[in-house]
Amino acid sequence: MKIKYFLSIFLLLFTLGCVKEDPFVEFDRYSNTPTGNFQAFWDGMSRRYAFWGYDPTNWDAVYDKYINKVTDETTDAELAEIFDEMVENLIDCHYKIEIEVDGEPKLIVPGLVKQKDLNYHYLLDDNYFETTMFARLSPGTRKKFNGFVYGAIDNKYQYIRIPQFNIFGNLLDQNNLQFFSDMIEFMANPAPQYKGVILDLRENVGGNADEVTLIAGNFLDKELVVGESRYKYGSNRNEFGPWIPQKIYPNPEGYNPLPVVVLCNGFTISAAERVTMALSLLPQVTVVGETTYGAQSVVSFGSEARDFNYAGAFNLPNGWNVSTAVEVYRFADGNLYEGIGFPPDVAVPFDVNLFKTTGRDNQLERALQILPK
Amino acid sequence: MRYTVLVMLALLSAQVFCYGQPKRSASPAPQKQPIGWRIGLSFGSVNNAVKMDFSDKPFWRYNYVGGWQYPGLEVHYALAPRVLATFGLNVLQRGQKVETIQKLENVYNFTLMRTYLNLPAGIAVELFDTKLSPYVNGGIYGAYWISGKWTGKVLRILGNPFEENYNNFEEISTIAFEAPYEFSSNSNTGIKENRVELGIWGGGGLSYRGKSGLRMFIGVNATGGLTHIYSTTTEIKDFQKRKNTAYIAQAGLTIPVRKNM
Repeated sequence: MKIKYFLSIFLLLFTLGCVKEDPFVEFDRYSNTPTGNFQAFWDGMSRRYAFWGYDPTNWDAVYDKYINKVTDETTDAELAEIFDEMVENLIDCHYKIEIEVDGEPKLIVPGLVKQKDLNYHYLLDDNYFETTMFARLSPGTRKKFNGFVYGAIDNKYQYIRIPQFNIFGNLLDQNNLQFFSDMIEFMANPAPQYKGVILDLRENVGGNADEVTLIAGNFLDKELVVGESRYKYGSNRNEFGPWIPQKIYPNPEGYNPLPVVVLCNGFTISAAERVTMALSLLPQVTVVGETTYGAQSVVSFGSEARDFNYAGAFNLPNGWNVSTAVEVYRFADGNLYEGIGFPPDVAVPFDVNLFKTTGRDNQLERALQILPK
Repeated sequence: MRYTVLVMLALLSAQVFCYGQPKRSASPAPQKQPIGWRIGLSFGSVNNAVKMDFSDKPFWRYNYVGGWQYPGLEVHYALAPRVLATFGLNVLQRGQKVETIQKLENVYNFTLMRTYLNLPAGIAVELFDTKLSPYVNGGIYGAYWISGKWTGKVLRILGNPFEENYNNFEEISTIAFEAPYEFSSNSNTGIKENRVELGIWGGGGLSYRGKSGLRMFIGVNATGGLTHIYSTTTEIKDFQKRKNTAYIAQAGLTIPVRKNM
């Protein structure tokens, strides 16, 4: 009988040891006071910022420096200034804190983002591309829609300008389907008279990551590993999963083998950078222009991102919203270009004076020189 | 988990056999266990977890994950007829699995299978001087983390709009991955891996004394790491410590090194 009792207890203990579930617990630990908001911000960043290990900021030293500067008498404006100093050296160029001080909405961004305020980019707005650039394209080949412009230059070179990667968003209206179907067809199956392609991603603010393949896939004859991404799975700063290869795929309905120039500048951002970097891996592609913005890591997976992704956006008790990348993207060469930007193969700074005085676009001209005559 | 269930069933079968045959198990004359060294092997299944606090992320949990204790060496010394000093040398896996749950089940799954060289040492005491006897055991172990392998699933970043049935407005599209663990890959976070682990273990099971001094055993041990898997190289304020907790279902046999001792 002793054996029977012993084994029963033993089996019971063993079975209990295999209980798997953790209780569901809500996040609710900080008060809506200046000190509570400071702690929530520091803690949230510590847990949810995806670039620890790459970022030069010593987040613990930041805590030590600022913890005594916040009291429960600290005003929102003072707290905003403190946060602004705390995030000064972050490398995530998608990073922003949306705040409201005295009823006024404001943004807090890292120093690198503040430096991006180039003074010429207003010259290359949608109006320029839809009027001046559109007029330059051969009649009968050209089309435009919401800043998207494509057609042929001198009936010899394909030109495609993409202002942002929101094609699927535009397709919510079925009336836009024809324009985008024709644009993809134009890219994927070039007419025989064309000798090269200019893909103009200047002033492209990025958008939907799936559209990286939608555009770059027209220039691929096989799938291509374009880099790796790393995700967080826990709250400690080292709790990253492995680097996971990121691939793009060819368009099964066409392949454009022509030499390509990708035009980019300091406002080629996010998904536009990912397209630029992906295409730069192809031998027939030359990247011309300026170093890109430096915000390649994806900032959101969608509306439920903060529910399930371990890195990325979070809210403070006072309602301020911290927006940061949900992954870290490393390019196929093994380097991280976040905060730095991706350099062009052929550096051609935009000549503002030339543009203002003559209307000439020196970056476009250089692209045309590079393509076969 | 599946492995453990199988071993549990085997264990249960052994119990049923034991319960059904009380006279047979008690009746044989006591087998005197010879004093001295014994050698043999053991193998088993490991059910492991690294406990994590997900209080700030309600849709995540850690989970137990199954691995193996590969066949390894057992060296025992019979101190008395029913008392053994036990030493082992084996390679075993300690898995770590975190995943998203509820409505986000199967979106994220990070499983890291760590492989350790394991050196347990302890004492086993058989409760009865019978051919078939329950035993209890316990002790300490040292382990060295040899390698690691990631498997799992994450949300896909670059979708393929050229795929058939592609739906951009579908919220969740995942991609599976498999990759080796890179040691010190995260050392610049101020956190480093501790590849040496020390811990305690204890449990029990059934042993069977056969002919020629043969001793077979089957049992379960709970093991707990006393050292942390990661440690900080600087004073990180929010650092959460991680330890291994495992259940090992184990079977093995030993024979006397020298007969007629």
